[in-house]
Amino acid sequence: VDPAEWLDRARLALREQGFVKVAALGPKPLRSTVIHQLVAEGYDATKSLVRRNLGEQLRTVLKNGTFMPLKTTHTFLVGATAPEAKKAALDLVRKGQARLVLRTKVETLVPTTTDVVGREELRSTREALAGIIKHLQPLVKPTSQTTLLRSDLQALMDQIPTVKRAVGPEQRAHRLFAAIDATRDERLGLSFVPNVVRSLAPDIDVETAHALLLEASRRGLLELRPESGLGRLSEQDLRDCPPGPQGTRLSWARRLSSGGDR
Amino acid sequence: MTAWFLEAVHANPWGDEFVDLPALNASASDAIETAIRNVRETARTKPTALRSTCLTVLGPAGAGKTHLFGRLRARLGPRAVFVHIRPLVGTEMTPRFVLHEIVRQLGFVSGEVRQIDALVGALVAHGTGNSTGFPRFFIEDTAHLEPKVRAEKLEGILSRLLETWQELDEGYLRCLLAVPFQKSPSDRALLSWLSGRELDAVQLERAGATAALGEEIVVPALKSLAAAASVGAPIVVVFDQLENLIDRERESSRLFAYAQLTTDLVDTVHGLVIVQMALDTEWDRGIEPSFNLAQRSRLGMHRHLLGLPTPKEREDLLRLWVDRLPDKPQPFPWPLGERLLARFCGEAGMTPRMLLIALRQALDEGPVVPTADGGESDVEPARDAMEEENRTGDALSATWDEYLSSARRLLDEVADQKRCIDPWRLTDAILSALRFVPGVEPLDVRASRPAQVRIVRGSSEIHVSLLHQPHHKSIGAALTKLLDLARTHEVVVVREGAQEFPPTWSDTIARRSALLREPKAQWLSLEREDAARLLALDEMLRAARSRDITDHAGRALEEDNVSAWLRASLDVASWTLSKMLRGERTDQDMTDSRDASAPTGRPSSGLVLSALTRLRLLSLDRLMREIVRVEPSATRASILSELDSLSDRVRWVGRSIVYLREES
Repeated sequence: VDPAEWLDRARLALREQGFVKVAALGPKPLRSTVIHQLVAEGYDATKSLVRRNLGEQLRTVLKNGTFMPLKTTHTFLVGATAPEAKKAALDLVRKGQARLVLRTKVETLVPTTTDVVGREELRSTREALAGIIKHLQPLVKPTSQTTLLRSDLQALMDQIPTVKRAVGPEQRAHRLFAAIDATRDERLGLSFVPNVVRSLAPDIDVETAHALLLEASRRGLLELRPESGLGRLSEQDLRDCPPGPQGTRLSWARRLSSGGDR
Repeated sequence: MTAWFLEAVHANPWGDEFVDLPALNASASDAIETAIRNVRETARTKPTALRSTCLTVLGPAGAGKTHLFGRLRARLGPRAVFVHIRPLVGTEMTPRFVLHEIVRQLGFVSGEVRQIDALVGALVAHGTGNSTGFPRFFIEDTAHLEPKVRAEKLEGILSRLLETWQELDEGYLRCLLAVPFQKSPSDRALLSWLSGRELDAVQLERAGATAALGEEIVVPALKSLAAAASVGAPIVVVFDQLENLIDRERESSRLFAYAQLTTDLVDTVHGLVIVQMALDTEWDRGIEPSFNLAQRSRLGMHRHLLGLPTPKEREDLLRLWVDRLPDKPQPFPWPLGERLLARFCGEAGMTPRMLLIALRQALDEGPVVPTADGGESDVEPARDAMEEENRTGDALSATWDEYLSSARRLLDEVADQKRCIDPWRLTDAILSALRFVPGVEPLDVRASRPAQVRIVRGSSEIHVSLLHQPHHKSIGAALTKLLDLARTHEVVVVREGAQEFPPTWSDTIARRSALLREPKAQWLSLEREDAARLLALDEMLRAARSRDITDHAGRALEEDNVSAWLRASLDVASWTLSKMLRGERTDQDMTDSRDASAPTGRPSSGLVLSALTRLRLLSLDRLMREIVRVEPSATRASILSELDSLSDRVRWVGRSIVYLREES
């Protein structure tokens, strides 16, 4: 009766299948020790099984660019019920590690690097459309004999904020690096992140810019550095910098030649 | 479970213990090492082409700038002399200050060899055509020679140096070469003299000098030191935490003065390796813009931007630390777990300091346990804002205590050497304290004036003199100048209580009495605890500027937050010096300000008898030190008064040795 042997078996099953049933964790007296150790290593434990952390599973799926309808998220995961999967997905959205979009009538979970319409843009589009509808309402009544000049209708339609063209992931990454290069302080070799974010606007909103920066950092193409200046960031600068570890703000970016190479 | 390096969140440049990942920022340390090698090679092969090099190392807080200093010390050992200088902020740095720091740190041990021994030993080895890698051997070898033979050998080395570089100062070099072969305490006295520090009569005699190093000798002394060291163990001067020179509150010339000093060092002193270290983002926004073109071209010669550790380097670093932990219940990645390890290795913006803090937290709080519902429990639990504030306050309080203890140790050290704190340190400390004293503003500082600091209170100007001199003649001269000044201006003279004038200095005491008869003159006997608080405050503010003060969770605190805590917690305005500068009545006013010829301190409550019983026979100075350690408020006057009251049991030898008579 060796807990280490059962632990190794469980780890192997978790690596290969993503979950292991509690009943398969050895004789009953050993199980709590094995479960405790697995939980300490970062796995989730439920009453009946031990599985890979759901947030981690979701992040792995999203990393591949997969779009997941919220209702069927559990089908992309292992060892999770539908409510558990939905809760984990919404947690991820709350933490800013995924986006929730409405496609036709289906709420869908998408990666943060996806080009989505920002909240401000949504609000202004809705307001402009409401204004036009209000203007047209009396004209479409059956009793009405009034119409509009075509040029006036065009002027009304022009009030709708320009719908930005969708930008593909590769194009966005290309624009990010172009912005980093354009804003680089040549002597210091660093780009000020708020300047990068501003130069990407309005086509890429702040949240997407942050996601792109963090993704590039994760891929070892970019080094994001914490601000250690003497209180030099304005309120707007602080909003434009992605949050870093231990309460810092990542205010400077440095391009790495390849994969973490300096 | 603790290990020493977990407490060393901020690198100690002179720490003995050292954990290093050589691959991390290897390019910066390699560049400095190459510069050292180049200086040595040039000094040996083309001495006339010898020049100084300046490198700039920039990085965010916690990236490992100060750590590089330790790495180079560990890697090069005695093959270079290392000098770590944190800039003065109240006083402009001068060549004398740099000389003082270089020679002071020659007395430090690096690579198990005292740096002065490394310098002279390497010089002796090179002079006799040997390898300079084992300087201690050559010091010991030379020390065993007959004095006459040794003197001839050292003279030969000196002659060769002077043949190569004619502008070097012969007298200074002769003294420098002699230091390792002097017995203690003469070697300390000689080093003090070489550093440009003023000495008292006894130390002057030990150093074989009649006066302190003159101002005209300072630059030749620097040249001599740099050139002599360059052939064996070149001197590496590291100016660290340069962001402290930025003054955002008022127009200040200290950055320009710093740049001028280092430019002059590069131009006129040959054979130095100068390394400047600062926060990367402050260098371009606050430091370099203050330099003129000539200064920029010299100081910005070679720039190295420290990178953050790559995921692989982060894992290696964590593994290195965990391997050094005693009593590990499990192998790495304990205590982090796979998931936390992956997070720390992948998270953007992680500095080595942040990693160390994260590891420390994991050890303190246990491994992070994910919840069964898929949520992440490694997000900090939401705490009450008030509780957070309290915990941060506790952390700041603990930090303050550390700085206070460190200041007390320094004061004990200088008291043992029978001298006052270096005036520039006390000047910086007073200026730092003034930030928290309402109604008082610093005007300017000039080290050459008898009253170095001028401050403004309302419409009046107050001249503050830091009377730090150890020699009675220098003090007498300063008091005479202060007497003239006190006839027209308000003067506050500050002298450390631990360095009260001995009763034998009757002329000095008379001059002080004459000064204090002037209505505009005031005397502050700065007690040990008051001095410790001033020094601790200054150190803590500097650390805050460099983002070295952290909260309970290890997060770097903003300078403003630290200042706010200091303001709320310390009540600096009620400190004795602050009260005096604000024109308020202090405790000392009530006891001894107008009776300087016989100051009456607080009673030492039988401590004198206790110390005499324990030690039997000792000097008055030693007795004072013993009493002051236990009762910081005790003064020389109070101790003498208690000795008088014990006249039936106490006997004197001359006026300085005292002993307890055996009871029959």
